[in-house]
Amino acid sequence: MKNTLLASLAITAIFGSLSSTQAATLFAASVDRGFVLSNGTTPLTSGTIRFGTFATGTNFAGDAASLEAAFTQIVTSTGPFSYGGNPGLFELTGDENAPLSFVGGTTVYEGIQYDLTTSGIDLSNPGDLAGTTIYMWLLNSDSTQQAILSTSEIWQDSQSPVDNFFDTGTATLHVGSVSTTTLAGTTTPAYQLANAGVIPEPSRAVLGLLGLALAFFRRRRA
Amino acid sequence: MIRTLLQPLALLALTALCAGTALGQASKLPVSRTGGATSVSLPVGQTTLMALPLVEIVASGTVSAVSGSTYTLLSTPTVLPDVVTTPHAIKITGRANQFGTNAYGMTARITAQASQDVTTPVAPAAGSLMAAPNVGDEYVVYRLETIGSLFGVTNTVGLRGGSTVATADIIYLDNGSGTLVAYFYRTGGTPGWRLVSAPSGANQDGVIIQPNRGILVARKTGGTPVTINISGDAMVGNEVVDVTNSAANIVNNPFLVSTTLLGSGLRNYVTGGSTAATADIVYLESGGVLTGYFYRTSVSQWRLLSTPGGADQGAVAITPGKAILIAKKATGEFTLVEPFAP
Repeated sequence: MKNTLLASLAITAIFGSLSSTQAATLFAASVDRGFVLSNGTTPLTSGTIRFGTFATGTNFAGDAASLEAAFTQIVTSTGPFSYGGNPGLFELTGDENAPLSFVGGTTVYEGIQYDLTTSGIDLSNPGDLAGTTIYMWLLNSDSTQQAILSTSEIWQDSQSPVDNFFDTGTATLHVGSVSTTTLAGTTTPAYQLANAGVIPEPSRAVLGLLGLALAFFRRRRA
Repeated sequence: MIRTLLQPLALLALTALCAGTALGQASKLPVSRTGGATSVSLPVGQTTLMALPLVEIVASGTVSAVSGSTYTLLSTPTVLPDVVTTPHAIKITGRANQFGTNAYGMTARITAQASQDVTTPVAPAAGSLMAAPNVGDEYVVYRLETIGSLFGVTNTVGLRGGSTVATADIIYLDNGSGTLVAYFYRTGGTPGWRLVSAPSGANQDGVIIQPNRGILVARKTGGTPVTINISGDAMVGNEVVDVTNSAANIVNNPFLVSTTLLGSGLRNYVTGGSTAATADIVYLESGGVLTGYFYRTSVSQWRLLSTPGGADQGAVAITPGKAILIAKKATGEFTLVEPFAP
């Protein structure tokens, strides 16, 4: 069976032990700049968006396993990519789709507490998620293509009156590229997803090595 | 009040427009009112706690009668102008009786007017006087800003608007009841100020910036530097604010003179604690960073929220043009004492 690098990724939000009811909101959108598949022209029509953060120093050229290991997911959304009837765009801000809700406070995400300073606003604690950069990890519907972006926005402290925002219009691309296609409803070239790549089955690898070995022995005999 | 859009890199400037004298003490009228101009900078990609340090005073005088939440005013000018069609507030700036219950320093929205009689909400409603004034107390009536009057009905100050809230700069207003309400300027469809919670809803440019309250402006990257030039009259007297037991009190700093955490006397109006968990937290903003302080009772000093065992923070400045975010543990009065230049 053919495996993709991303086949093992869960597409539901991963919540740890819920020990706080501090609800938080993430407003996210890509309505001024859309997404196309790796062919550079076809709009992305459905997929999954994972919001979280990557560890400092993450090698975005690494394989799926290393990316997954470096990523801490906080909230996710799966569904169609469309805004104003135009494909390739998404909006989670209350216009056509509700913003995303998650729990901050003492909630633990993949072993990291969202906010260690529960008595007030403190974005300087290196041991929690509050204050870290918001990353968006986008996958197409079968998880064979992906893009990873970030902006200057950070995950807000649970005590902060400021909400969380993510707009791809001014994002930095870590995985993916800028296409030459400008989607309907936008004026800026769309982001182009990158192929996530395929890991060969162990049996295939062994066969490949065996084939090479046989070819080597044949030469020697000759 | 005049607002104009300045070029980037605007600095905080104060220019006296008329000869000013020392501001009056609690029970005295100022000999003359000080006017001025100041600039409030809203840098791109930063969060700013914005104060409104100058107001447009339309009348002043003394209270001649009190009937519930309706006050009869002796005023200069002799005939009180219309203070309802556009929103106005009354602030008690001097007390006839130094002792006993009084409303010195308190401000309330004016909701109705009949000639020289003005009515405010009944305490403890938002925008009310927490205590009744006394006959003979001095007051000023001033115009309140709205989103449209301060930022422009069409966002003429130049904040970054957007087709969705994810792109746009956000302004947070304290509604006076412990809740911050968020707004943005929508550029798509029918442009205008909208609630973040209702991006396709009604126009919000008439929303009043409540008396005693400042504004939190959260700017995204990608916009242009904005400076709001404000001119008007300096407010006199202490600023007494009714704050709620929440993390959502943005208190206006109406004063044009710097003070410090220690010099402000805030210690007398916040709940201290041996740890931040039991204390009120005062947040000051500088360079887009909100820094929290609390009064640590075990050492009788102001301390950083992040390092309660660290150095005394009493010398930290409370600067003109910056509002104060207060997370209160209990509802009650909060007073900014009027500072005086040394």
